[in-house]
Amino acid sequence: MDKTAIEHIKKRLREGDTSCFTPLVNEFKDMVYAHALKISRSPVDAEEIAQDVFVKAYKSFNSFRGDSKLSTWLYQITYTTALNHLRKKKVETTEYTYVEAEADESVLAQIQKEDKKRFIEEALTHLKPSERAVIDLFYMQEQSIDEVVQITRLSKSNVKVLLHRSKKKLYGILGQLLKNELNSLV
Amino acid sequence: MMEQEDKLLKDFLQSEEDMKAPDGFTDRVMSKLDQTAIKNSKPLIPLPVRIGVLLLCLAIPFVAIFGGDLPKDNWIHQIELQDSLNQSIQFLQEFALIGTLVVVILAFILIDRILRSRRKMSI
Repeated sequence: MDKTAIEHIKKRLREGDTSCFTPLVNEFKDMVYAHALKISRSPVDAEEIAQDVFVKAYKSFNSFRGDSKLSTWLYQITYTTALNHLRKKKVETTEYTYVEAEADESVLAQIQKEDKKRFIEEALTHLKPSERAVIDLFYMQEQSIDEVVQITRLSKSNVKVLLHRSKKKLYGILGQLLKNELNSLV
Repeated sequence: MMEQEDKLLKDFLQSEEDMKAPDGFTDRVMSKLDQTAIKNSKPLIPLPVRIGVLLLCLAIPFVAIFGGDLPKDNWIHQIELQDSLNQSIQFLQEFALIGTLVVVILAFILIDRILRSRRKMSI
């Protein structure tokens, strides 16, 4: 969505016309919903979060100056809305016994393509919402470190540490899941 | 090394299916936005007019209750009123005052809501 389109929406919103928001919702709904779902791991919560994101975006759209990309701004709202939503609901991450591990190609290679989805789903469930958020933003949505900094409002070094820790944790969990799977087969 | 590691994880994680927003999502969002727009829109009745009408409405029961002298031949003077009856009347008068105030405020909110939703529909 270019600057002219954004200015046009702003103008029409000032006139009280909400229908001009429809193209924006249509363009970004999958992105917002997917990120909310990655953080919350619940389709019901994700829909609630995604709806709130668009309402918040609507309310503060005139304050969007266009310094960052519209998608980054929406990611930022999604990130804070999702974390606040989960904090209010007091969703706790299931404790999981694992040993932090370094990147290991063999671990990832051993996981068959059809099992990938199940393994990722399970491993992500055991991460904290903030860890899932940065993993999703950096690895899945391919946002740069600077964009992740903008979205999370954490310092660059904090983002890097959080990413590194989450990655190690994810590898550890994946390794443990694979070990459990192999044990169950033997 | 670090970049290779990140690429590996990226390829692995991106194999997760794309997640699409559920059907009818846009409609649900738009109806929420419409409700928000109505709530946040500027009041159609300007504030000074609102305050003026409110004061006027308040003044009417005040004048009615405390204003004029009761006529000498009023039935109240013709019979001996007991204290309890006096208290009941006083209570009813106060109740009328508060009731009027509440009704006026509710009427204002209702009229404003109707006007705002009409304006919304006309856009």
